[in-house]
Amino acid sequence: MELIERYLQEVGRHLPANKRADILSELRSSLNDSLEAHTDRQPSEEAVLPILREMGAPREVAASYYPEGQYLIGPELFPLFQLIVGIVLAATVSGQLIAAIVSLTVSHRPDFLTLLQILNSIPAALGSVVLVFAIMQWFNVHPDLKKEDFDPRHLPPLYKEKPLHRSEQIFSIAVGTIFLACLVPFGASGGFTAKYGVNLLTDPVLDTYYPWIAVSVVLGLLLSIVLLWRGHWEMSTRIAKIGTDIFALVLLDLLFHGQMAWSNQMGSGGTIVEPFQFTNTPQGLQLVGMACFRLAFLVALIVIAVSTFFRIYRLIKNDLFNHRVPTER
Amino acid sequence: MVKSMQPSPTVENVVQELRRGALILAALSQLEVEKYGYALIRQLEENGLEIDQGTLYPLLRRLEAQGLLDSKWNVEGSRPRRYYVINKTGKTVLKDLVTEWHSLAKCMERLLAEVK
Repeated sequence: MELIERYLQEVGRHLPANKRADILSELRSSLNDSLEAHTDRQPSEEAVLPILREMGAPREVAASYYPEGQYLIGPELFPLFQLIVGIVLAATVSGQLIAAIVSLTVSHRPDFLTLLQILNSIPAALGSVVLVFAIMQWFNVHPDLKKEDFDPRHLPPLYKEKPLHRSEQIFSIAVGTIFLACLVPFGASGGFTAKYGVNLLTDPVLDTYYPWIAVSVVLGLLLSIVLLWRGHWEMSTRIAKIGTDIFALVLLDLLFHGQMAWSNQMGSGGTIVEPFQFTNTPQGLQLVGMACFRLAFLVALIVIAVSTFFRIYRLIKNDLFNHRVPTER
Repeated sequence: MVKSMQPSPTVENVVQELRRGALILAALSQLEVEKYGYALIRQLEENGLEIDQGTLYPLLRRLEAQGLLDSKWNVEGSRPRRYYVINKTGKTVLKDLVTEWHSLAKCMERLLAEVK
């Protein structure tokens, strides 16, 4: 009966290769027994249909031969998978951040692409771990993990979320507003300038990016207002905070690079001290000013990079794995 | 235990859960003498327990993999058939399961006595 063979062929597509022939032989035998019992005449397609329907859809029949179900990563492997993912993610992100910071501080040539590579490396790292565990699952490898004796006295203490400090949000809103109030007139009056006698000293790099600086400050302000309104951190505000921090990192990196390139063009090296030899001239003062900005950008870049790393770590560890709102100030 | 019309997915799921363990016990109990799958299905049906082929054959495979059943192909007859029979380990397990089943049945009778 062709319909039975077509059915078995479809079941076989979803069966493990090493058991396929044996299982299909048994099913064929059983289907023919059933067909024989249900019809007296020459078996027809109409007689086969209800028997196949009763047997079930080929994929479902095949799935029932997997005693532990069909998983990419099954329940037995999942706790170990979760542990390894945490370690790999933390190692990947911190490795990239350390590389970015080393590049920034040692070679004085910070490479923003290194920071961006963090975003690229996370899916690659995750994919590798998933692949390894999927192979383990496929070959039914279950590491014999020692089961620790459960002692209720060693349970972690009750989780208490520290309240979000409203005073900090109010302070950051005030500072952000003042900064923005200063920033807008600067931009409107032709850039960041300082008078030295009759000379007008400018910071061309800040001029270039000042609208983006304003955007970054506004984003920070909006987030502080939302936090003040909500009164606590949520998954969405945490992600928004990481987003604004990454935006600030991008901007700071562009500013740092811009300042560095401008200083080199003006004949000043990469160090902070070097411009002081020109302090008696307008150009010297401008170089010193630029160098100070550069140093400030570098410090801010490092501080925000580190804090962003910890925010991401807490987001992964507490929100994504433990399904609870982590403590954060 | 007879397969019945299930009024809702919830009831259907619970009935499946209830049947799952009982089917193991039922299959083991009927394999003192070796049988092929379809013959076992008929025997269970004759005793009021309906089980479809898509459920029984994987179950027999699992019981064999657990070391409770032995099986062999028999090519004599109208078509080749795989015969299953309970082995020594299976008999020991069956004995324990039967004791557990009776204990559970008594317990459930008491618990459900007042359910209307």
